Amino acid sequence: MNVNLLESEHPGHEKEAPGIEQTDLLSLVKHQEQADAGASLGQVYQQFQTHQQDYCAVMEAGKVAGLCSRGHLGFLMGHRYGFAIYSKDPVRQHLVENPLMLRRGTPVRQALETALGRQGKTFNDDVILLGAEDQYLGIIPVPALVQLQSALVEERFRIQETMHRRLLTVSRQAGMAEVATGILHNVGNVLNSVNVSAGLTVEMVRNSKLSSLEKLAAILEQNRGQLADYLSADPKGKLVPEFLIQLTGRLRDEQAGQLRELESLVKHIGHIKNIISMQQRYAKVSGILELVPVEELVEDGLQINAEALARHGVSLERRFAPVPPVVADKHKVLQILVNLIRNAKYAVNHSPSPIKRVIVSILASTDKRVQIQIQDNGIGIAPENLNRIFAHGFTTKQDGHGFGLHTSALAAKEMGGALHAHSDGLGHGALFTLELPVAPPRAAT
Amino acid sequence: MSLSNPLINRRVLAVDDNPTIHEDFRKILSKTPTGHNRFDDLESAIFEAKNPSDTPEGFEIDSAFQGEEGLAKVQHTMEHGCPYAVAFVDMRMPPGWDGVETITRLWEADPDLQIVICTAHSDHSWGEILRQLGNRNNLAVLKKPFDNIEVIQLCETLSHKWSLSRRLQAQDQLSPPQQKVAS
Repeated sequence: MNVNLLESEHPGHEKEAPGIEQTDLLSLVKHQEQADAGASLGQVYQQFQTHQQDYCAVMEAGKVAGLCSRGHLGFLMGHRYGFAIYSKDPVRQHLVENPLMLRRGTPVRQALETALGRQGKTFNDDVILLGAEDQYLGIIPVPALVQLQSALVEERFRIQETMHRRLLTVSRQAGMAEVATGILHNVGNVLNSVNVSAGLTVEMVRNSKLSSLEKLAAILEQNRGQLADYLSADPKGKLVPEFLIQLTGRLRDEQAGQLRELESLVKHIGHIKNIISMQQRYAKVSGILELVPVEELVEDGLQINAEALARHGVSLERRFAPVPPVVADKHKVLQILVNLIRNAKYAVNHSPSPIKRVIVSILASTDKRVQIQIQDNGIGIAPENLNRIFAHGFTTKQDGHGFGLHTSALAAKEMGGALHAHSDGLGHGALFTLELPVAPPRAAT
Repeated sequence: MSLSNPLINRRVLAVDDNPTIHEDFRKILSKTPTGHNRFDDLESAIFEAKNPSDTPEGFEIDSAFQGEEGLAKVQHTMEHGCPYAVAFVDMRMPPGWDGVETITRLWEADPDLQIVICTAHSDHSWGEILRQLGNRNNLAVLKKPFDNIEVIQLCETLSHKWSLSRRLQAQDQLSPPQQKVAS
């Protein structure tokens, strides 16, 4: 049995209140029976009749010399003529072999391992507890040790469960942070263009040459009585027709410019709407296992990363086989896919190979399971890291936090699926397989 | 020598991996100078108004989509005697150099270059960035999404600063150092 499960605790995670490990061994002592080493077996036998305990310590010159067992004495005395043969023997000649003596300060775990780790018959013998000066403190019966052991295991399970729950929450938050960072980045860039277009439009409208038209109308109004004269003879008036033509051109340019910016605004706002609505769609159904069409889900995952993939010149190949819908939590699957695609993008971007390729496949592994595979020709994974990439906090990225794959693997497991990684080593690309069940998992919580 | 406005260096370099950001810079900065034309002449003649026409001059914008490309452009323009006054540099430009590395290299090539770090993220440690870059008085920060006026004013002031410091350097070379005039 491995009771060392929690040896490596999280830094910053304080130990729970004084637990079973802090138990004082003295509290396990049941009695302090003792007999003098020089006493005869007959006398000790009588003693056992009075105190009803199974063991007693045998003392010599104030020190514990050994342990004497009622069972052994009974065995000797029970012989034919046993009483006659043995009753005069001093008890020091019939001690229990290899008695276990523990000192009071011994750590509980070590005490239990020593006491309960004994082999054969000695395992049944009670344990003598000694003080710091080897003084006799009493006898601890085996059942008390067994009880303590099971309490300890139970406590450790409880702590582990709490920690696991805490870990899940942290992972989930990390996953959310990852999605949020993605949204912020995407929306942030588009928002910049929105801001610019809006600012330009305001400026254009504010500086509109409409004011010139107004001024011209006022002048014409003033000259209403001699309009023909003004336009044909006045040195300024003669310029009006040409000015009107020029002004029309200006206003048309203005309008075209405003229209261009407004169209760009509409386009960018549409883009933001898409990013957000896609997130909302999945945020709403979080935690619900439902029948999900795989291809649609994969496409959504790809779309979230589409711009980034295109921007980095990653060629994307789809190999979709027809598969039945899976039972899964859309949000979680999407989160996993976004993660895997982003990792693939990172891997091909950091590879010296000029060709950046990511292949996304959907296939049915068995009639009960569907696989979604993300394969890249990127930097690959060193064999020694292949087992560690799913570990909490493990990352090879400079600015990574090591939660992505960890969260993904947990989420896959929660849905009754699995997440596997394969790589032929550094420089040989990587293949991640997300497996999801077609039928509902038995105990999904 | 004449010290009028035409001596202001209005060449700007934008280094960002996102094409739409370049478009944004261009829209804001490169005002196609409508200049004095027939329309303005007619307008001032008819309305008897002095034509204000102080439309901002606009800037010459160059684009680089990676730090490496930005450095090449800076080196090229230096060799041809038409250096940039201002460069906008994005913080994250995968797969190549990040903002800090790009800026370090740009300053190696042209220590006078006025640089604006441009970023959409707030998770940078500015203290750390400044420590890595060292040279702080040629450096400004612009957070995305930015406003047009921020970009315009940064370009105006930094291009003037660039040109002024060039002029001071030229004076220093002509006159003995002890006659340096504090401005």
